[in-house]
Amino acid sequence: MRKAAFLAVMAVAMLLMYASVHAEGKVYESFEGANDWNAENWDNVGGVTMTISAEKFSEGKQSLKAVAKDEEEDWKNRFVISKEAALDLSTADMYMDIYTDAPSGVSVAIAFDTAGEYYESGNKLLNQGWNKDIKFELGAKDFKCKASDWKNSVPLADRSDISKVFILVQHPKKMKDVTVFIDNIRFK
Amino acid sequence: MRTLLYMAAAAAASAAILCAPRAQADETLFEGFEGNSYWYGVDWENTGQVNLEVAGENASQGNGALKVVIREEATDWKNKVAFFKEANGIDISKNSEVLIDVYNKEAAGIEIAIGFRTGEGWVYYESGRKQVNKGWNRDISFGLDSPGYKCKASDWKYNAELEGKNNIGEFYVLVYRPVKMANDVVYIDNIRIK
Repeated sequence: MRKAAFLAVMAVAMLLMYASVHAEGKVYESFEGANDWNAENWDNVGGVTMTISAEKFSEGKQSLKAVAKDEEEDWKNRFVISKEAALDLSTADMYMDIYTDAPSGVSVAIAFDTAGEYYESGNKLLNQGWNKDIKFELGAKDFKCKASDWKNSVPLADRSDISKVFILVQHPKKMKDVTVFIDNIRFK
Repeated sequence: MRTLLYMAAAAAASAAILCAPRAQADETLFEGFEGNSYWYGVDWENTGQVNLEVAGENASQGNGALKVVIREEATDWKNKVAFFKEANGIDISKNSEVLIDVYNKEAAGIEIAIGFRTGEGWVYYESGRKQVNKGWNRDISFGLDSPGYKCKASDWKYNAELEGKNNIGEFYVLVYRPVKMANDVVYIDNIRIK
C-alpha cells in the first residue's frame, strides 16, 4: 500500500516536472551573446541605451538592460527596440519576462513588421520587480496598424511572414532613470 | 528504509511544485504613490480646487500615499474634486475591476468614483460613486464590465458600458461631497487593476 502511494506521488511529481519543462517553449531570445537589437529613432519616441547585463536575468545568465534617455520633450515617453527576423508565427503566442525598478506606470507592447505592414499590440502594465511570462496573444483582434486608423481593432495579418520584431516600453512623462531588464522571449 | 522513501517522495513532490509554472499575479499595481507624483488636478468648471502631494503617512501599500487636500469652495455646485494620471494607452480589456484604498480622516458623506479617457477619441467615462467611511476603506472595487458608467453619449446617465478598454489614455479619481466643498483631507493608495 505504502509502495503504491509512493509510486503514485513519484508519478505525479514527474508529470508536473514534464509539464513545467514543456511549458517553457522555444526561447527566441535569451540575450546570452552579443546584442543584436536596435533602437528605433522614430520622431515620437525617446532614446534608449542597451547593454547585455548579468544584473537581472530570468533565463540563462544575462538579460538586456534598457535605460530610457531623458528627453527634453516629455511626450517622448517611450522607447522602441527591434530585431530583424524571419519567422512564421502562425500558431504561436509571444511571451517575455521583464524586470523594472519603477514603482508603477511602466508598460510594454510588442509590434511586428509583417509583409511590409506594421502591427502593434495593446499595452500591458508592469508591476515593480519581475513580470514573468507576460503573454501577448498573436491571434487576438486588438492590434493596430495604418489600415485600422491606429485603432486596436484588427488581427495581426500575415503571421507567417514576420520580418521584424519590436518591443515598446512606455513610462510616465518626466519619470527619470527608467530601466527595464528584458529576458526569455519565447514564441509558443 | 521507509523514512528514506518518504523523504525521497517529499523531495520529488517539492521539486515538482517548485518547477511548475508560476501563476501570474492577477493584480497589477497601477499606482502605489512611491516617489514622484504623476497626478494632476483637472481644471474643469464644475470641480473644486485640490492640492495633491505624495505623503509618508496613511499608506496602505509601500511607504507613500497621495494626500488629497480639498479646498473650501463658495459655490455649492462645486461638490467634487478630480485628478488624473496619464495611462499611456494601457490595455485593461482582460481585467474586471479596479481596486483602491482610501483613508478618510474625518468627514462623513465622502464618496469616490473613477474615470477614464479611452480610445483614439479620448472619450471620458465615469463610474458610479462608492461611499467612503471614516478611517480606512480598503479594496473599494469598481467593476469594469458593468454598464454603470456615464459619458456624453449616455447623456451623463449611469447606463453606459466602458468602451475602449484596450486603450486607456488617462485614469481619473474623483472625490465627491454631498454639499459644497469644505476643507478636508483624504489619502489614496494602492490603486490596482485586477
